[in-house]
Amino acid sequence: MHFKTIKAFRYLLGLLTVLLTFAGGAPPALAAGVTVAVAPKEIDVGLDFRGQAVELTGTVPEGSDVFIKVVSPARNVNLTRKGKAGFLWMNVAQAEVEGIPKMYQIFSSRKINDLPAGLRAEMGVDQNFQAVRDACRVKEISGNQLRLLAGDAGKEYLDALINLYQRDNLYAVRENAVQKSGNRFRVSVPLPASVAFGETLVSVYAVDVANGKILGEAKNNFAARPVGLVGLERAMAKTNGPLYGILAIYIALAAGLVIDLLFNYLNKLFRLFRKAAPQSSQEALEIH
Amino acid sequence: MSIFLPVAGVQLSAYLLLGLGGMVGLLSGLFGVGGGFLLTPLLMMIGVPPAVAAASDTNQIVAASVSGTLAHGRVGNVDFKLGLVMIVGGLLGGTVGTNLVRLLRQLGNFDFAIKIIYVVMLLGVGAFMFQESLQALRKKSVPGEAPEPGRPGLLQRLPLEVYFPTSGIKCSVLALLGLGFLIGLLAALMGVGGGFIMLPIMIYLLRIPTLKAVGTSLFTVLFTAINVTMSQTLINQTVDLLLALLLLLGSAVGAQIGARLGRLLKAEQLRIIFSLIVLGVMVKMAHDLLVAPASLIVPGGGH
Repeated sequence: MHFKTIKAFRYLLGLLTVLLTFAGGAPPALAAGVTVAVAPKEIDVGLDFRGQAVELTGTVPEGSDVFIKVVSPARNVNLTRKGKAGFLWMNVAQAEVEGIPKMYQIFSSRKINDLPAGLRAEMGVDQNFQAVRDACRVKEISGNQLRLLAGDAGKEYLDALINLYQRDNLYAVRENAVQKSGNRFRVSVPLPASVAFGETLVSVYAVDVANGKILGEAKNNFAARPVGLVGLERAMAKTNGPLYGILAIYIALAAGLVIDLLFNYLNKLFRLFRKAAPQSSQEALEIH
Repeated sequence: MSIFLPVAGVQLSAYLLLGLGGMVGLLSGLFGVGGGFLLTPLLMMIGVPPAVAAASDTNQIVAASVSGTLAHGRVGNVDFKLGLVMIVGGLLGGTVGTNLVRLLRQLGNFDFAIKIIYVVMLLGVGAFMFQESLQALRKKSVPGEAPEPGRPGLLQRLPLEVYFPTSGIKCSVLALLGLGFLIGLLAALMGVGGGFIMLPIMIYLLRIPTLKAVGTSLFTVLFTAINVTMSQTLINQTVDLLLALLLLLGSAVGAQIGARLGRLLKAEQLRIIFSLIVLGVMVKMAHDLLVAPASLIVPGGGH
């Protein structure tokens, strides 16, 4: 429970910073600028992790609208495509999507479609996650052929993957979720249990929507890291294959052995209990 | 009680995992099969990534087969001598099979052919066993065994004949090595454990009493499972120890119950339930092949 105390303390500290920002207001030099604070900065993923909210607070120039994207590190993901071979459905291709973030959440204080298309592309803020699609590369292996799918050719794979992430609440667009009062804003970013590990980047844009201009931007980050047993097991599985494998097998062997001994013991107890019935010890003779 | 699974990266109920393990362990104890055929799809259904599901459930089989082998062994239902000969053959067959898979993959649509062969084989074995055990049940004669126990078949007439007292059969070591080799080869080609093929071969070709075939089959499954778990951790790094731990605690208990339950059933009853499971797996595979999948693109695969 030591962990919990540290965790709570860190969280409090973060919250305090945020509250101070709110209470004291931004320093005059930054009043026209954009700031963003993140609390907590570190998310500990232990065995009891069930997802967590990250609070973003900050300032933007008065009258401007806020658009925020929260993006986790890019990584590679394997996919399999099924197709018809004759009259049967088979795996027909394997693909690797390179450079796709596991999490991409967008928050705004206003409808995204009110923004000009150019601005949406510039900020990477749109309903279709176009920025993700543009940055990804899809490598498809079908039979012995390797194809690089760019742009629309890889769309099928990206659609499927993004759909999957949307279902897990890793990808989301939440319009009007940002609360504003004067030049301050706040929004809560819900991280699901299947959180993306590593440093997640928070980008805040203050936009003058009427004139189609970005007034300023601020960046910050937070990191989800595995701790305790979760961290230990992840680190071992990734870096020490042989040891981990042997450990996994020994644990399984030991568990099988112990459970058998336990059952045997219970069996004996049971027999002792009803020693009046002698036929119960004839088990071995019953089988043919 | 929910728990975050470190390698799978998802949060699941510990009781659900214990329960799933218990159910699969029960099948192991009853029929001497690994149960990966059932557990992998179930784990994927509740949200475990496919690669993690496939790798972690072989680890579970290690525990279930140790627990089940010991439970069967205590009442003399494991023929260790015969099992060891089959294992040697199986390891050789597995090695050849793995290399053969690599070779066949380069030749083109290999998975296609293999799946069809597998479905046909399951249909054949399942239908034969079902029919045979149904007839045996109907006769209701002597508390029976597989047809004509002990009569020397072609397999028994090869050289190097040895007597296996536990099973009560005389058989050529060469024939056993050959059968083990075949099972290992098929298991590697089909990408499954050997249990489904092992049990019918032991009962019908080697004429080993059903319950002893189950125990001995489980004993050989142990070695396959250790082998696969090791290679999974080395190549894929996808075994989730915590997931496996919950599953294997459940399945080790399930295997004990299965082994005891098996003794209460008649041999024909065991065989007929097993044949129904084989037919069920066949129907599921045929369904996957014939019916359009809900989603054409799924996570997993890769190299």
